[in-house]
Amino acid sequence: MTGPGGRIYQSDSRRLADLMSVDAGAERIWRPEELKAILQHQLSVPIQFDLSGIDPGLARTMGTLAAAQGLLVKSFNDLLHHPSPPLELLQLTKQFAKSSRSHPDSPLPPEIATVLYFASIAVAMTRCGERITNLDDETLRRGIEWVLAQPWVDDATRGLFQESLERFDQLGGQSE
Amino acid sequence: MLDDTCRARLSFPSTHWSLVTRVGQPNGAGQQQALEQLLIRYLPALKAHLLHRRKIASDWAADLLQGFITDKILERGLIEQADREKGRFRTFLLKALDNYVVSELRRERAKKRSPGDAAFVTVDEARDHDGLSPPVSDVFDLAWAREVLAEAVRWMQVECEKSRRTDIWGVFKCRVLDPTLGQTEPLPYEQLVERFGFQSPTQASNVLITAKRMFVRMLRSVVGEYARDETDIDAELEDLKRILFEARA
Repeated sequence: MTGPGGRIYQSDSRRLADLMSVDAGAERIWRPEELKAILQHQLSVPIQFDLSGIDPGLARTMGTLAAAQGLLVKSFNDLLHHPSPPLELLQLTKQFAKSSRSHPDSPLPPEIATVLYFASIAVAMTRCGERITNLDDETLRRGIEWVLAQPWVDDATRGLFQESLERFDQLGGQSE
Repeated sequence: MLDDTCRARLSFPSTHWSLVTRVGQPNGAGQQQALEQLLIRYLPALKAHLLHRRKIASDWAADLLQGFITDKILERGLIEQADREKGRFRTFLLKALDNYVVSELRRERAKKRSPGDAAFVTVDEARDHDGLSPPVSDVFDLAWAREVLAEAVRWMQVECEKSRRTDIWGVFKCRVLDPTLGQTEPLPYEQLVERFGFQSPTQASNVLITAKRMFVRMLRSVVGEYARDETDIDAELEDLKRILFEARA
């Protein structure tokens, strides 16, 4: 007997027990070694594609905000590496990442959402001189250091966090 | 035996015990099809039971099964007697088969004792089958567990094709099915995105999550054909997992 169903008859029964135990949850669906590729993909996604999911009405706002920056702000990468990114877009990005992190059924891996979350805060701090979080200094620093400790974070993104950490140190961890 | 294509054409039952109920409807339009589905589903497990548990030779096992289907299922309406309140359908069917085998053995032995009759049942066979002890067979259960899984996989493939969601089937196959069966490593994320054209990690994750949930739903639907309710489905799935896990191969 051939076909995917037919292969069941020849398979090891313990493997079949695993198949019968398939976890339908949203957690841990990707392997740790895939996080690098997922982060790269996430950063290259058109901003509107993901952020419009927060609130359908936001799509228009985001379109306007992105368009105001010409063609330079299309992706999360464009936003995070922009010399003067629109603060509102950074806030929306933080909101998207936060809701993804806190929702157990979120399809975005929590590690990726965490990077996006702290990245939006870090960039708002370094490029806009604004603090868009109520996190205390210690928690914020721990978050940034966590991102820097992840081997799957690319150099360009890592640079954003290093810059924010330096800025943080210059300011003595004080709110701006 | 019908092949995968024929199996795939069979429509999905929608309610618990739906096949059993439909078979029980006299001369209903769906009766023949329901009976065919039931027989297709259970025959490999029943045959495995006769071959491996009861140690019956293949040819004789085929004859016994043929007789069981003809005498018990078709002529005496065995399926109609299945009562969902009195336990598992698979156990009911297996007990009925064992009883049929015992009665056939006795009948053949009686014939054997009659002068002029050719020997049909050997002494060893008679001893083996006389001691039909546990009514439920591990061989049967293992074959049945495989059947449930195979059926769930088939249903999922058909459902994906029907709903034109070949991406869900493709992702399930290369991320869950093939790796779990030990045939390949899970397709890496980058290749998955390239193959299916996912626009974002959210989209890729959603498809993978949907695929897993769909498979679980199919699994529950297959079991739901003979389990009484959701609690019974849970218990049956746990039982089948245990059977598979404890099996030697």
